[in-house]
Amino acid sequence: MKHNKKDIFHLLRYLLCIAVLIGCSSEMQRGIALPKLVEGRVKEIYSILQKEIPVIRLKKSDLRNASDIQDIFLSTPQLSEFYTDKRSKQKMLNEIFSVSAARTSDLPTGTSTCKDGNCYRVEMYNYALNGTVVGIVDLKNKKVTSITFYKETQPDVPPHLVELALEIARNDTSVIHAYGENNLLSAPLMPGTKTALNRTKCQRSRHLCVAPTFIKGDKALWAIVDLTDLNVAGVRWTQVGETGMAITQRKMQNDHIMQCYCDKDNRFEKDGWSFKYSMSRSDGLLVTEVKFNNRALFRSVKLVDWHVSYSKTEGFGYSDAVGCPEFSTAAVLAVEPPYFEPIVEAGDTTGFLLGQRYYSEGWPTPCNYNYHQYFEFYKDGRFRPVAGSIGRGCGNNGMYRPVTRIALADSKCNFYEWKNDDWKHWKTEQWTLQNEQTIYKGDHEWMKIENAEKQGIFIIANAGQLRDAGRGDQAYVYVTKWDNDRDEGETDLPTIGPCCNRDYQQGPEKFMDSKMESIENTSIVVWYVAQIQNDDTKGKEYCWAESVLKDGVYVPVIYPCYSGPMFKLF
Amino acid sequence: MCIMHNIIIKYSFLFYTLIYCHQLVGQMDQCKSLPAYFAKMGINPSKAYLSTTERNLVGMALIESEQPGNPNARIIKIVQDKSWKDKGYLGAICTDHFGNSYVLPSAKVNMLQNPFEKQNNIYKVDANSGKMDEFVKIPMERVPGSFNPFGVLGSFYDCSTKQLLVSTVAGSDEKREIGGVYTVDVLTKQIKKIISNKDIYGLALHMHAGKRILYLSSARESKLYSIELDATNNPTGSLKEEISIHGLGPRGDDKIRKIRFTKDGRMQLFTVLFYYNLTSPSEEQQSQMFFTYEPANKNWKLSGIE
Repeated sequence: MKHNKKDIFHLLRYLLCIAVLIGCSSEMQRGIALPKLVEGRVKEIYSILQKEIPVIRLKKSDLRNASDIQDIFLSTPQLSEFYTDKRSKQKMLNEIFSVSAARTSDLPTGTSTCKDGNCYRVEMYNYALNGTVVGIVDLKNKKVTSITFYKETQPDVPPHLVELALEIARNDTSVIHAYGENNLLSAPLMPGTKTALNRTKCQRSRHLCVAPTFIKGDKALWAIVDLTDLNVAGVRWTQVGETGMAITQRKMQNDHIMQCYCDKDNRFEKDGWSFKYSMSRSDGLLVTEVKFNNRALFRSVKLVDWHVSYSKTEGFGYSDAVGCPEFSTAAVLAVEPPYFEPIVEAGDTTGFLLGQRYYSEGWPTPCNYNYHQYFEFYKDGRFRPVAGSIGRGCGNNGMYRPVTRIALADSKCNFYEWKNDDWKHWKTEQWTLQNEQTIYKGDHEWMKIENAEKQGIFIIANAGQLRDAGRGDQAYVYVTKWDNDRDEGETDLPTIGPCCNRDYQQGPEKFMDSKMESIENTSIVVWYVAQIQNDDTKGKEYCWAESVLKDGVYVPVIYPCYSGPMFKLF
Repeated sequence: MCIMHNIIIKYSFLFYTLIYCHQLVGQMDQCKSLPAYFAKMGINPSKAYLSTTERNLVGMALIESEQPGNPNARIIKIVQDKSWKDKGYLGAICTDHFGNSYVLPSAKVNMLQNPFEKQNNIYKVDANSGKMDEFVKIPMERVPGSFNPFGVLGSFYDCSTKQLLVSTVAGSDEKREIGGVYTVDVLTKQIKKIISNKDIYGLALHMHAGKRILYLSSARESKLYSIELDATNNPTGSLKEEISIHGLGPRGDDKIRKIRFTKDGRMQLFTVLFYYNLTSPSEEQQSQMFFTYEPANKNWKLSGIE
């Protein structure tokens, strides 16, 4: 089969485009050096929130009476519910986006008012509620004839916000980095849109977003600008002329995770550690082939399930999984990519962590969840898989039980528990429960795993002494035999246990053979199920989240609870 | 007592007939009968409906509401037969001439009670006994898994042929689209594939300008398609794109879960967030969109979003 030069050129061009579009390069920090318009905007918001009527008025209008129309509109008592949050009495930020002559279609059917053409339509956006108030003002009679609120609806943005969005985009490091030039001022904008912006939606943050789109050759760089937070929510390349779906926050986030992390191994090495990581369909972020100084420690470590039960209603709760945002059995989704950050203790960097956050779509509203998973890798060889909840769930009486599966790499392990001042050898598959009577050796050394060379790992209990302000785990620990010829939970597991069992039956027991197989000198799997009680008591909140008004918009205030044992080499 | 009971059933049948059979001109499922077991379960049939979406309940429930159709109305009574609970989470329901209901499995918060291999089952609730049993199983090339837990998604009962039209996405993943649409004869249980390699969510058969048009929504895109069927539901043409709802509604990326027609001839689309993953237990994010047919332009025009 012959290929001419033109075909090869097209193929290379295609591959190059794919590489650019997917863009799985390492996550970079975004930031803006507050440009002038942003500074002015921040001051304006601060100032408007001090006023009785927290509404930024229209900057420019072709209508001679625009100011009078706005005065009439803003003075109607019906709007007071959009000015102040009833519970906290804090001000909500609003802005009038347009004032225009009312069209017949704007008026209620059969209405007798406004026949003289002296009525005007006012569109006001409420940043806190992410909704639009549309009012019809009868200028002649100086009254408001109707007020309608459209939730989760954003009007067309006015010109000064277009300019603001462009300035934010042009000064954002992620946009500059993606575009490949230091000066975006001369970059041509996507033609064919009256405001030089593409419409987009920030479905997850429920913020006002627009997308300045910069052209480079035959590609277009979408910069999704969040006009509520005044930053760039993300960037994404497309082909110019593509007629597919518009790039939105959810599409951008999902595509990135799906293309770069779902079932895709990423290799990482640092501080003597080496491992692969990927996002699973239902077992969260997975690390495999974990080695420290070339010593194989773990075959894989993953977060299998979250079980949440509510004590006031017997048997009421949910059991769900975390993982890929599409084509998965996860209910709480990875929407942002995994990230690395240093571990700093007493001013020293003692290691690094690999983290991942998961959200259900409506968090932090009730019955939605937010989980945080991370792996700590210390320079001295310590390792800790951590599972945390950030509420808010369906009640203030919830018990969270994350199920973590830790598969040891060594093929000849022996497992011991510290009991009665000695190391008790577990000879067959079994489980135990950490409670107030549990005695540890030394500094919380609760269990140990030893290989044939008497090298091993201590399992340090989490009794609330670790660095994350946790209150202790009250954990169930199970040890099961791993057999290469059977699925002992190595594959992506659907939810393995119900929400509300209060005993050891959390799912791992299903991998224990009825005759309790020997776990001497063999490959083993340690399952760890922490038990964390949430709390919404003021000042003692734990596994909890609330929405509060800050600078005129709702932001979550979080009270995480973290769990997980520490593994320490010996 | 017995006379009263009969009166309730008769009037309830009339209510059902009026509400469901003659208001929705052109929609081919307007023949459903009131299941006899409604009254036997101590529920006022005129205020009753079957539901698979009650929070805190797994399976199907018979609900008596002060105002059926109004989700905020006070619930008077909830009844669940044992056989309605043990099939796991359930989804679409449709009812036939005789009052038998056909119920599809679903995938919601988790798969604990919904084994992957049963995700293409269709369950039948007998009109008289009210018992739910496995009716038929739609064939699947590949068993659902953690890459896509869903099987059958949409159903529609065609009164004219006594066939159930069912869509499935079983076995599809992000790279392979192997879903399809099947007809199931409810009398003989004969199953026939009528559309291949297309992941369809909702579907509705409608008489449009004298033709039998099957409207189908994509499970992968925010689009509605149509295809003409003959009198026995064999396709006579190819799929045609009718409507894109991309960018519409509060989220802009919904998929169309259900297609129905109102009594004034508008198309009513029930849309929902759907990316082939499970959902948290909170209320589903969904909208309703209305489209009106414009004969001059031969297309559907958006007339409202709720």
